[in-house]
Amino acid sequence: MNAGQVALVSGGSRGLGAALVQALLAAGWRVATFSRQSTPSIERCGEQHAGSFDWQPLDAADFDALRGWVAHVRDRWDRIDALVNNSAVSREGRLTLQSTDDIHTLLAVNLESVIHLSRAAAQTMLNQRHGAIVNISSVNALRGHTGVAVYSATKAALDGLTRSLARELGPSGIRVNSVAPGYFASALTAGMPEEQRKQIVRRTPLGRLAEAEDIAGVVRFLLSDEARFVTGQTLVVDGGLTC
Amino acid sequence: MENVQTAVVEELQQVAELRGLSLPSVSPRQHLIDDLGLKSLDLAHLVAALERRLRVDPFIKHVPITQIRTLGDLCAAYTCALAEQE
Repeated sequence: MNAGQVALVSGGSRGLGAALVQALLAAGWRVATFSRQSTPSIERCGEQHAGSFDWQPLDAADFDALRGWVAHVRDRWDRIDALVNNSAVSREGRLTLQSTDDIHTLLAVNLESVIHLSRAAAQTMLNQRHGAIVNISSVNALRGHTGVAVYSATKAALDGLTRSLARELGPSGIRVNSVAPGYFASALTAGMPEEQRKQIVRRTPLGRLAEAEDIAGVVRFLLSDEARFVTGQTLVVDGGLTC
Repeated sequence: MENVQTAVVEELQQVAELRGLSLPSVSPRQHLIDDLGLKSLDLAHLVAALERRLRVDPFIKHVPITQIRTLGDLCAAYTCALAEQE
């Protein structure tokens, strides 16, 4: 149990983010999250875990607001034990056809917001000499795919950030890891053609797409004391797709 | 408003104690690294502690950390940042 420990999860309103929030609440964490709008998942968490759950309406591309959110959670619960950088967007399309707005949004939400959240949360963790950060990366950071060049760049950047931040913060008792999920049913893959989905399943040794709970379990492990000697790593959770 | 120099010196002494550094006396003209023996990680801890205590981080937007050489520079950075907040 993690009674009293506080986890921040960015983008916890639906999909993997919602699964992460629910998994951590079920494990006894106090959880704070944000999203642009509330969702049924957010409302259920508020009803079922009043006092242990905090949601704020925020845009991940508003970096000042993100810093304010971290300060708000620290002021409310007096500690920050974990940060899960989950919030992300996808803008599929060939690079030569992609708009500068889409490129900017991908970099801002998938990478810059992670950097600003990590900077803010790490300051509290430095005071505690304790903490854990998990960045949600992607198999797209490991293998190339057509149509996701900038998205892949942002996720590969998270893995680089993970390794250097692990070295920087390790002496202060703070661990930093990333989790690279394979394809799973989410808003980001909702537009995937059925034939592509079947092809991915055929190429996956474990014969299916991931479910959000598959990923959430690994994140929960990395935040737990069982992973106390794990830092600077990228754990791939893809059923063997990239092996 | 809390006295900035008092806050900076008290938090500096806490950081030094945790690192096993001896700081019998400090003055604004002392260099944080050359005279007081701080490393970058110590500075990170000090800034984190001061952010918690003074509710301001001058290095987010106002001052590059690379401009901070002495204890006096550090105190001045926090004084300016707090003045801008008001």
